[in-house]
Amino acid sequence: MRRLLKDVTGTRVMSRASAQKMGKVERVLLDVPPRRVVALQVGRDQLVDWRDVSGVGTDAVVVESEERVRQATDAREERAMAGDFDWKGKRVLSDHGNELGTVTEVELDEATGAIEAVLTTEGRVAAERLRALGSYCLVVRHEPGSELPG
Amino acid sequence: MSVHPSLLLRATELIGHPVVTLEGGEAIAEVKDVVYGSAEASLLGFTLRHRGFLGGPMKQVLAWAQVVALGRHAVMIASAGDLAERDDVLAQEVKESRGRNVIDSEVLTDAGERLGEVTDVVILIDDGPEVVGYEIGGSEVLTPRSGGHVFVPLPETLAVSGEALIVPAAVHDFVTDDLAGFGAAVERFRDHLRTGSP
Repeated sequence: MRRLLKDVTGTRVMSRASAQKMGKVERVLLDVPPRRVVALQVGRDQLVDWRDVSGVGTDAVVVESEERVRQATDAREERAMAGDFDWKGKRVLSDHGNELGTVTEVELDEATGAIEAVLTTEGRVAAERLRALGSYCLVVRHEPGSELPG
Repeated sequence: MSVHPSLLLRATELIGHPVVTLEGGEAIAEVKDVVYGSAEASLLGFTLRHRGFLGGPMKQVLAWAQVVALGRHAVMIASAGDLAERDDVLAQEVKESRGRNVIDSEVLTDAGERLGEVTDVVILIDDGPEVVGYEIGGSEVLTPRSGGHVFVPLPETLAVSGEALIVPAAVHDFVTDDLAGFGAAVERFRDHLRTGSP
């Protein structure tokens, strides 16, 4: 089923092993590549890999167990947790060098964690067009006819 | 077919544009200045400065060959490794190009008429950037009413030195005084040169 980034963010995180609350989803770490959810940030400095998430429902995100929680392991993860790659409001730039608005929402497949599309202030961008995510912008493939600069 | 005017821009419009990596989505520099060559339709590349209000000049330069795309809002390159250090080949060319820059060259027709001086280079940014013409200033002959700037499409063959730019006298009919009319003029002028008919 399709879910929006904003619906997952803020959801409580439950442990399947102990049925206890572990916190809430502070941030969803999505990256391009691989155009999917990489991990969920739980609280200020903890991460849960997407493969350790057993379910994303409207009421809770369920994680295998508390033991799956980890810290950031590289600089990119640390930057992501500091908000460098936050999607909402991110500038969208085509690989031809033209701005295509800013990101308003991301559509996700809750079963696989794959990005299905990115909604922007200027329309919908299919996941296949996503090329790279940086602190400056989201780079998307140019689509002939879709952008007339100026 | 005419060229959409929004696909044309002056090289100087690129000053201040961010230089963005395609594979990283990071803005790693800002265009400080355009480096023109003396040869026909040549842009050597760009000098760079750090981004931001107090951005100082950078040691690296960006060679024209490394530019993947020029857009309305950014200069795109593949990755940060594509910037060359100043002591590289481009830097040498930049140094040598001083004094034989196409900007400020006098523009003469092959009939011996002076049209003005080159003030800018016009780039078509459709599929891979290409220089398609020049902006000419101080052109009393072409625009007696304003003495303003006009655009001259780049013919397929054109003599150029550090001193002057020679264009066919026929170019007179294809000069426009705004970028909007320039796209069509480029196509018409090229057709004319190919077929010999207006």
